[in-house]
Amino acid sequence: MKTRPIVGRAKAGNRSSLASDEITSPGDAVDQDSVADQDSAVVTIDVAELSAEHADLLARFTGEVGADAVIESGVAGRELVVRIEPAAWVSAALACKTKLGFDYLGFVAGIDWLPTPAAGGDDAEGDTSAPVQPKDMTFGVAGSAGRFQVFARVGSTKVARYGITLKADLKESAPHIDSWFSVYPGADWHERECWEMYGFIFDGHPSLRHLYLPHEFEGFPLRKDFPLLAREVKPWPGLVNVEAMPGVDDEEGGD
Amino acid sequence: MASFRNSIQGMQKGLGVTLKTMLKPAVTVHYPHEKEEVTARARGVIALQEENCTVCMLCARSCPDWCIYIEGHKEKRPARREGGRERTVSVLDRFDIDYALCMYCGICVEVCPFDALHWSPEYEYSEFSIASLLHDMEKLGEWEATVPEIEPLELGAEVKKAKK
Amino acid sequence: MTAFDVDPKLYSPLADSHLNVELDTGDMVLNIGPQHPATHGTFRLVVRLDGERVIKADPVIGYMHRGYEKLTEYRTYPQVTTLINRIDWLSSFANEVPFIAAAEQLMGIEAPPRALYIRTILTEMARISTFLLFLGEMGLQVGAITPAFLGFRDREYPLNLIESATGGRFHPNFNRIGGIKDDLPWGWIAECRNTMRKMLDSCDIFEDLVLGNPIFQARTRGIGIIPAELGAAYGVSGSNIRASGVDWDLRRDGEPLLPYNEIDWKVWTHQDGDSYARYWVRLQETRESARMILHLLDQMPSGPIMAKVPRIIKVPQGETYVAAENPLGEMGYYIISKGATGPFRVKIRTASFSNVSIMPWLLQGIYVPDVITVLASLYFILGDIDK
Ligand code: SF4
Ligand code: SF4
Repeated sequence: MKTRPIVGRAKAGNRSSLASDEITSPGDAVDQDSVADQDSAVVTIDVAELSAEHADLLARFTGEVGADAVIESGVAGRELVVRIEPAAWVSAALACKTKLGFDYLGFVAGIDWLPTPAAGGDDAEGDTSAPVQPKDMTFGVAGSAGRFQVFARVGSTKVARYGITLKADLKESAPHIDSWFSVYPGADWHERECWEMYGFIFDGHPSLRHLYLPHEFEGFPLRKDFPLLAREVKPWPGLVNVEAMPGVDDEEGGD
Repeated sequence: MASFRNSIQGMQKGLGVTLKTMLKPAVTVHYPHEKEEVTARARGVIALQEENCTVCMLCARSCPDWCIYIEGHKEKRPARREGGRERTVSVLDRFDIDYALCMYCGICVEVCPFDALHWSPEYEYSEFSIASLLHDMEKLGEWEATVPEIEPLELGAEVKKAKK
Repeated sequence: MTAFDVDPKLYSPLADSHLNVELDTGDMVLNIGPQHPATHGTFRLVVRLDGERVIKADPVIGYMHRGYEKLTEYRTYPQVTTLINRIDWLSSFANEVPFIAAAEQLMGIEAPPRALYIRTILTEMARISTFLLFLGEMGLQVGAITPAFLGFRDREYPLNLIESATGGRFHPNFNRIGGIKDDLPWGWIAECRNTMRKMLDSCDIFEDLVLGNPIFQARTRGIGIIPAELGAAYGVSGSNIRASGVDWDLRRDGEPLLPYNEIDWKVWTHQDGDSYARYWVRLQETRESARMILHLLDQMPSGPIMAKVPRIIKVPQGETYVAAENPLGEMGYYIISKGATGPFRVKIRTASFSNVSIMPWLLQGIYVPDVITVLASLYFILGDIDK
């Protein structure tokens, strides 16, 4: 038997045949030919071009989901981030998938903006090797109304470097949001993970049950107020030494 | 019938590969009898050069697994030169690495500012109980003999590497 | 069945079987795993059978969940690098690259060209070693034992190379923010060239021995077909989706993290979308990777391998998402930094997680013996699912 049709093509080909008309494919124009003949391996980002690209995408996104659904937008790295009304969560997904060409589900996940507690609890003595995070609650790109947010990224398999990250705020008292399962079936597991890790409830999900953790598990491990026991049951060995760190005058002691 | 012939052909091919491989030298090593040669860079076990260590605790502080335990104290030493100042020297009392926890990341070796820790490619130190995987100062010092020389680098590498 | 016909009613909590399995007469519930050789790791699949046919399949994961997203919040960036080595443990080097690239992007640091080249070579080498395991393993799942031995033997060569350059066979921890840890040892390039030629030969053997084998074809053709559209909606990525005819490869279409655009190479796709196509695509990609490494070695620039980085690494406040084409598919990190020495939140988007999430749909209606071949052909690593 012979192998069936093969579609392999050189990297410099263009994919216009795949991209539908309403989708511009900025990624194509940027990297493939122009950068290929540069000597240096460092690819610089053209900020101006990217923001035009983002502005265009944002305009089309707003056109599809309605201006009152979009609260704030920003750029994270090279990605457009849009914070939308939680009520528009599913309709935005639907618009992304059917109108904007985002056929690919990246992930659905949650964020807890509560400041990271010090490792070993706030009353732990001295510092630990864990990084010290700022103590006040600040929000990232596109802001947030409160502690909990759900964020999701969708991309495209048809257009190069084309993706969007959506964020929606959840109420701390009742973190409910509609499920994406009906739009992107792959959201199933992501939402289950998000539910067990953050306690967000995805309305309309067929079966919200534990994915990673045993089903009798209590608590939501990825919330910032859930302690990381590994860092609490054992004292930090870096503290054992009560002597001061060797000063400058000690340096010759080593040789 | 055709599929039967196909299957025979498939089998013949498989046996052909077997035959060809049989005639080649073995790629496996009969381990306890023959030792495998490991590359010089391999991260096998950490060796401690006790004299170099100044008990600065940097390694213990940056270890992601918290598996280095260090204790030390300061001692006064007479001055080296006539009329010089008395020196204070940090002396190690305890330096343990728990290999049951260590994940061989090499961060401790990299952060040590006094070149007291080195990687050795030695790998034969398995134990019957987890507790005996805790290597103390003496044992870590013994590994020092197995630390290989620094190898030369590949063509095109930057040559200003003489800082250590 | 249409593409999106996933009946939510089919989706009862079968997994928590000791609680609420609704046993119907005539149906049989079969547990595959958690310890089963075909699942390479602890992965459990609960299937409900009607005779020999699967009517419902429910993967149960989490036996190896290590909570990496939580752990990263308590570690500094260099400490996280060593952690994420263990996500997809067969191609650890490839895991490091997007994370480091994301941190570099937030800090505004660019690694020097030589470092990028070495990263690319080692990433491709990780791909080869991972795929060689797959090429052998998949043979084993249809009952042929020779390919497994061949795969394991040939995989040693790239692994040896990775070890001699990085010091770690499976967990290199070789990338640093701003470059790589060390330059290549003397003689490595010549050795690498030889090995890559060997790899090209062994790809030929696999093609002849496995792909051409009538039993293999009978067991894989037309089985476990993933429709391109549904695959994308499930988030299936990498070779799995390329085997469904989607011409999408983040090495070419994603962010230019590594200098892939400086060499000549090809993205392979297959139109069938079945187990056979997935094997075929991975075989071609192994070969392509070997060729790519040969190209890269020819063009290797000289110079430094580390950019100037501050001694204590603090990543400025910001957010970014960086994804790369791992051997298993799209691996991405969404990093939220608040200006500390460690990240505030890292969302790890692993490839196998999404690739496997299509399983309940994919396994419906196929025969029990094919379950194993479909599982094997999706090629997942448990660490990559469970994080
Ligand atoms: S290698 Fe890593 S885990 Fe092991 S002792 Fe050193 S820093 Fe700790
Ligand atoms: S970092 Fe080096 S000098 Fe400092 S305590 Fe560790 S081994 Fe000793």
